[in-house]
Amino acid sequence: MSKMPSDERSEKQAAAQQAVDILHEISTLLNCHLDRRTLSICISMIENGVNPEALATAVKELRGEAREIALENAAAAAAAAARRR
Amino acid sequence: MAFLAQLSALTDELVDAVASIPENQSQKRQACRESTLRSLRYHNFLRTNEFDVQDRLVGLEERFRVTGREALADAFRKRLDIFRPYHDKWTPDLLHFLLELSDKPAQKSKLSDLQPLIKPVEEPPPKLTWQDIAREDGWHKDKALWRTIDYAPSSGDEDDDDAQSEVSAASSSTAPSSPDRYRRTAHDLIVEPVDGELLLKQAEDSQAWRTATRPIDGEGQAKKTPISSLQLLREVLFMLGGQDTTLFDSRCDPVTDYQLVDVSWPTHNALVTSFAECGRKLAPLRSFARRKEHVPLLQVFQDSLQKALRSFDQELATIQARFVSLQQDTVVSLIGILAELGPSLAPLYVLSSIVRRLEEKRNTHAFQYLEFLFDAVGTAQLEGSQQTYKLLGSVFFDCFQVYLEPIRLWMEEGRLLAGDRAFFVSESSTKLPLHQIWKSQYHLLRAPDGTLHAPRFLQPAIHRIFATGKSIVVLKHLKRHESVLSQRNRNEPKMDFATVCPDDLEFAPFSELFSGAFNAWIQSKHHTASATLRGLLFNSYGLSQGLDALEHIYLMSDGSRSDAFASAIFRHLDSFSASWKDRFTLTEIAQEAFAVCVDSFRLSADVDPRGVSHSAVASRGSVRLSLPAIRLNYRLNWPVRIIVPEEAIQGYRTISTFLLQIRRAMYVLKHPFLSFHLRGVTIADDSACYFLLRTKLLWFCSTMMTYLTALVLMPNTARLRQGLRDAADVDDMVTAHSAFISRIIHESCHGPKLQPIRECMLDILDLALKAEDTHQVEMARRAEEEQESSRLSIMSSPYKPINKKGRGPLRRRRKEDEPDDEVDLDLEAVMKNSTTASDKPCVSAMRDLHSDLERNLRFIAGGLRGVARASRDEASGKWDMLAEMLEVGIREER
Repeated sequence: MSKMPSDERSEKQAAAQQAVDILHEISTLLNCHLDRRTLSICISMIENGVNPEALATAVKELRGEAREIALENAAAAAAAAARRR
Repeated sequence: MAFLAQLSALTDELVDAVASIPENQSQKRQACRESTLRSLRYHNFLRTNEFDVQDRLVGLEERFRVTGREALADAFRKRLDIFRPYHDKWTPDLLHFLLELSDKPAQKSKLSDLQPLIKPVEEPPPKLTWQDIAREDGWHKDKALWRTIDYAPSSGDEDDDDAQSEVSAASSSTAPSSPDRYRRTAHDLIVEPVDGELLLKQAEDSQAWRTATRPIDGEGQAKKTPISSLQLLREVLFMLGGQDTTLFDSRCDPVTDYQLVDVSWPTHNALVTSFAECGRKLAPLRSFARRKEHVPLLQVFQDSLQKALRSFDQELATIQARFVSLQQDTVVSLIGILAELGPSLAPLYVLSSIVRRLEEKRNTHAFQYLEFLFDAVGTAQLEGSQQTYKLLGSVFFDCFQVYLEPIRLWMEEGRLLAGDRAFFVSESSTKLPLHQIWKSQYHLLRAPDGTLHAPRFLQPAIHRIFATGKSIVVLKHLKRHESVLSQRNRNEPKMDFATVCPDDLEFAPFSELFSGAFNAWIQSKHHTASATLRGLLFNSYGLSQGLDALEHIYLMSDGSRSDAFASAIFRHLDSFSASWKDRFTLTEIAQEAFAVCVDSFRLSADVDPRGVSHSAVASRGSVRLSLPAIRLNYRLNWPVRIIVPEEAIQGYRTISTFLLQIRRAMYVLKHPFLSFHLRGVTIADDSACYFLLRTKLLWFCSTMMTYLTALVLMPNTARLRQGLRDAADVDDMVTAHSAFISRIIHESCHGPKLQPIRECMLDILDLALKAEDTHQVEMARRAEEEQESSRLSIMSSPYKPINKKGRGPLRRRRKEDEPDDEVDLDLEAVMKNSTTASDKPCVSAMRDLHSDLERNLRFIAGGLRGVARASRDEASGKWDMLAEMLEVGIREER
């Protein structure tokens, strides 16, 4: 197996970074509500063979879960605040 | 399994990133993770259709535009375009994913969201500009910065009486209005002396004489202001130093308002006038030295003048120093000063006269002053004024070094400086073919009156310089220049005064010393180049082989080869065929004949179109008509063509034609058309006449041939070879060769003066042809008569011969190698051509021809003798010899 020289690897990394940047911009334009970290995770998953629609569905579910948890937390915090008063 | 592990790791990360379940709810997190993983692994979705993705993207962009969000659409398009190079196999999936997640972008997307994503462009650090510095330093506040400073020495209030004070007075010219706190001004440097006012008063008093009003004497005329010797001395020294003074005006004339105390007016006047004289002589020098010159030759002259003036000024300064801080009693003697300065002034006077002469002449060449300087140096040496001689000599050699520069460049590289009008070689602007470079590419510039555009003292050497440069140019074209450069290791002799005119040779005339040194200088450069070129011409470019070939072809040095060539042509002529007029046939004949001794690929032949307009019969009958039209060409290399130009080839051709004509006559006389051997013909009287004539003609032709070969061509070619070997450079070789050509032309009686004699010789050659023709006609007639008689006798006998009538005997008598079918044509033509056949009997025709021959011979011999006596040409000796050889024939007859 041939090892890539380090400058080629860094060039590839830079190119990959740029690709991710552009995708982030596109996702912002498309109003996907994705931050960079999530996006790069999703990119890694898709490049590993995950079906994009399935992934999109999973993300939406997780967002739903996140909203629920946020609501629960908000309700708990409001209740705690009311109790203290 | 690895895939699963990776997938689960990524799923964990995703869950953390999106759902961000707090730490305490790990169960929930776990549940979440598992459900996500399951949904990712087990799903019913189809694979991404990339065309569908493309369509959706395009549709989305259109939707943006339709809903009026142009900027969004543009940004979207731009990002997609930028992303295009990064496409790989996952791109459709990624875009599909983003499209799935997109949340009503046409309504909700905002361009401002992009701003945080764009990386800020780094600004370079602000540069420092002059405006900033000016602002910081406050230049606009400092008015003194912008005032022009006056560097000239202020006249009238120089330092005076330095014995009294050592402090320089404050200058009144520049003063800043607002002192800059960073810079010291003159005010800061003022030192108030102890009794400053007193000093100033003293200084002013001592200078008061300049502005004093002159007292009026009894008659109402103003008396002269008295001045002391020291003041006069100071004024004189300043005037000689070229500065403005009160006692002398701008033209160094003395101002008559002042007079020395205790000295009478005439004496004072005489003294002051003599100083004024000195100053007047120096004035043109100073003004010339200050001028702005552009030509390097004049600049170096100016520089030398400035040096001489500076040393003179230093001397003046030394004298001044004596009087400035007087340590002891010193005598102030103006006449002493005059005597002291005398020797230094003498060379400056000479230089000044040269400058004046230069300025008087308009439109001089830049090197005119070199000629003046040269003459002045010689004069100074003759007069014995050593100081002048040395100074002028060094000035001359300094200036000459600059003049040598273009000469050196020309002689070493063969290059000329563009725009240098002081040099005497010029290049013609057209590019000439290589063999004409030597003669015509470069010229010596001449003035309208014919003198060379060079200083007089260089004129003997000009041609060698010119030849060297041209040799270098030719060597460069031959690409052998480097060998010359490498051979020139030795340094050129130095050309400066100390070397050329050393002290132990001070009695040798300067012009001799200079020409000797300059010749040595030239020789160091000239010799190598010309020797190399000569060697190359002989060895590599085959000059001797070329000359040999020319001799073979034109001067017929190898008789067998020339015979082969000539007889082939004569055969064509005799057979009336027109093929000898054809270029290709001639070339073939020539190449075949000369193939042994020359390079036949260089040889070609053609025919002068003017010479072929005569009929075949006429051409055959005279040497004048056809033979001069034949031209042989031999192609030489271009270096050899420098030595042997086109005009020389013309000369060669003339000789060649003449030799061919003589050979024609000899050929005709020796190869009669028809054989002699007639059956049963007795030798009659007319045959005797014919034989006598033929013998004489043969004798004439061989005498001419001998003369030309042995007395003209052989000695001259030997002399040419010797001359070429001895020649020092290419010019000499060219001259030697052209002299050779002119010699052989003259000695072979082809010069303009000997035109009638040559015509006479050609007449004799034509006589030979005519004699032969007549004889042949006669023979043919006799043969016909015989035929008639024999035919009559045969006809009377019953036995008829098988041979055709009238043709057999003739045919048999012919030589076997002649073409048979042209016999009748020849005979008829000959009979038509010869006028003697019908008019006169053969005998009288022969006698007429004989008398013509005699007359012509006498004319030639007499003419040659006369011309030989009359002219002092080199060739006259040869003419005498030829006349003697021909007179042998004449005297015998008598």
